[in-house]
Amino acid sequence: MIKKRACFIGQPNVGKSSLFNILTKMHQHTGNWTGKTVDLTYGTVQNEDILWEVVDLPGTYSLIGESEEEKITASYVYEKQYDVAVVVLDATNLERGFALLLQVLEIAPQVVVCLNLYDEAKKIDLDIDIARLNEIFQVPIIATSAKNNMGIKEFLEHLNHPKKTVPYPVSMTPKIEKYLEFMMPYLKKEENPKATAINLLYEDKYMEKIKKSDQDKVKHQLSFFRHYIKKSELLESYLLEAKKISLQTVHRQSQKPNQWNEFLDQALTNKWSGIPIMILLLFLVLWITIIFSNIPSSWLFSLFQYLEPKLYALLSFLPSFLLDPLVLGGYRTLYWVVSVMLPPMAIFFPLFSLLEDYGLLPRIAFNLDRPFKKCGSCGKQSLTMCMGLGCNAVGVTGTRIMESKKMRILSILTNVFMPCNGRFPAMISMISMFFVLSTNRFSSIISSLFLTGIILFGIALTFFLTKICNHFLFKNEKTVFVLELPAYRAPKVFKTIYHALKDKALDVLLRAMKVAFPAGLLIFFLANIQIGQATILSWLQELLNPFGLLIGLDGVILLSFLLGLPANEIVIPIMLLCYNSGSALMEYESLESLKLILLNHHWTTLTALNFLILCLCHFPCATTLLTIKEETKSRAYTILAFFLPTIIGLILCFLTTLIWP
Amino acid sequence: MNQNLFDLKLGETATIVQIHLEEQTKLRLLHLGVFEGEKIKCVMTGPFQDPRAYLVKGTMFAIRNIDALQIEVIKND
Repeated sequence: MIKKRACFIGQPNVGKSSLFNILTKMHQHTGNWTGKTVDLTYGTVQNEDILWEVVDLPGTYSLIGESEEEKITASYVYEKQYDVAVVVLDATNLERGFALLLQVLEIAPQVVVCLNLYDEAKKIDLDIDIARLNEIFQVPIIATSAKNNMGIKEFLEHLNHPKKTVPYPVSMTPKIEKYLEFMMPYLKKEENPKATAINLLYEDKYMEKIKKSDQDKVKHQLSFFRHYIKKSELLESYLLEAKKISLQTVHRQSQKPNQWNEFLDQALTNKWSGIPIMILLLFLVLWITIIFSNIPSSWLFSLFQYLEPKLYALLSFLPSFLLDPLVLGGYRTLYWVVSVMLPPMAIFFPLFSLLEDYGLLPRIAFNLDRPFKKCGSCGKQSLTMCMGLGCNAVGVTGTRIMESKKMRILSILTNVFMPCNGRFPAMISMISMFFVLSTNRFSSIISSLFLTGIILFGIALTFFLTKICNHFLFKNEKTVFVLELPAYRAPKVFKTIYHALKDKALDVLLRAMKVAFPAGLLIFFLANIQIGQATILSWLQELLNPFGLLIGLDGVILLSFLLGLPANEIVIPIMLLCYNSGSALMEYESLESLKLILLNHHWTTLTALNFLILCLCHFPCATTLLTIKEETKSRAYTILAFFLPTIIGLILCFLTTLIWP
Repeated sequence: MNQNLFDLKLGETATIVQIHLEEQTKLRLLHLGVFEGEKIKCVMTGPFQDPRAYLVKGTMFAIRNIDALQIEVIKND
């Protein structure tokens, strides 16, 4: 069998990933691009006698970009470790896509083009002359639509029989022509001398392609040209050529505006309704998550509890000093995390993905740019915050959408103020025990309102800390904000839900499970190893108690948060373990019984309030901290991300205790 | 500089004459198809009147007013 590799290149929002998903179906994995610390999505397709490995490159507007993602894609294309480059264009906006295609044609040995979203182009009466496009670009061009599997078969046929590309003669500005003229003699042996010359204009990476003896001379001249030719000038040449091609091949018959989209945009960004609608949406998402996650959560608990004695019996050949920690420590913590975390996540992530795929998130960034700008960041930070509501680690990775390092750091340091799915359940139980009467018919609505309020408070804290950090860390450096607002697009509901569950929810769950098991073992040992009269656990809580009381909490609560570092889900179970001086985590029968235990340990409404505050403002979980370390590549920022929210949380608790009547 | 993008009222159209922004922002705008000679329309002003959203050849995008001031345009009637 022959193995070949194809890479998918396309601008953001052209449905590149949907196309990729259709082709590779289940056969996908994210992996490291050899030698680089970038995760790319890989998949395989069996196409007749060829097994294709396909790589989904990050969306990029052009190969002449500044953003991290654009650089990744550009260097992948330049390194040519693929057989065919698949360029995915948005049929409703071809002109921009042509500019990218023109650049790829100069480098990639073989190219296949997909005119994706072709059905939508037809809907808005665009007349695209595909035959003429074939003549112009001299590569296979296929009309596709990921939505209804249109053109997929034809695409696969062409993928197996691509033609060698012929670069299109893009006319450059006189300055650039002069530069190319100068470089050509040094790049005689090159396959694509023009592409190499253009790359050399901005990077030294391909200097080795020039003979050693000529390098000094070239370097000298290059520094002059580099100063003289701006990237924007180069890009403009491609764009002008793309415009010429578009004029010949794309004709718009009539322009009928989409009234629903226009109405939605007006409503969502209106002076009066914009912000309230967004808060309402936040509330709805929380409410749906709350009402639908309780029951499956208790099912999961029952299932795992039912299995526990069976597992115990199954492993009974082990000596008890191994058996008890494994089952009562590791297994229990593991299933606790899964039962608490899985249901809300399985509801929240798909809901969020649907809103995301519909195109709502850029509008949020648009609405909120002004307040974020005042704090030294930009509207895109709100998107990373939305992701943080699902999982803070995802939010931290999500900061890649921001262009400047400064804004990324600001968003990373403050992301923890968005309570993730792992913290929701604890907060909700606290709210329903101490602040909302459970006998009330509308208790789920009131709880959701309360939680929405907490999140709004988290948003306020985010603004506050962003501003402080911007002032002290970055001296109010200027920020750039250019945001595309793509057209609304009805998502494919089932596919979106499936991928949200499979790619996001499962991924987060697995990461949590990995840390939950060892954490369970540790807690078990702390609760069972005696030093003197008491267990290590009780010594630790005694130690923390004076400080805890000072800020309206107690030693147990502080210890639970500390031991909950691996996963926030286990904070309440650890608390119960300490209060009952038990030896293993235990489930509470009902919220009433939990409340009784807490009241017996002198909990008041203030304690519950401070618990909520601390839950919102404390160090990110271990997974998130590791992600922060990875993304910032800085130990200092990771430490800062640990201490800043914690200190704020402790101060707030102290203040509420001071002023509480 | 005569007129700039910020002078456009909601719903008004203009033609871009020159973009006087620094390289990074200019590149981002070029990527969206925003360059000299294109028609541009102001389509949304947002809850805080800043940033505002514009439409160029079917692409909607938002920039801040401080940057819009640096884009020279001629209003179309």
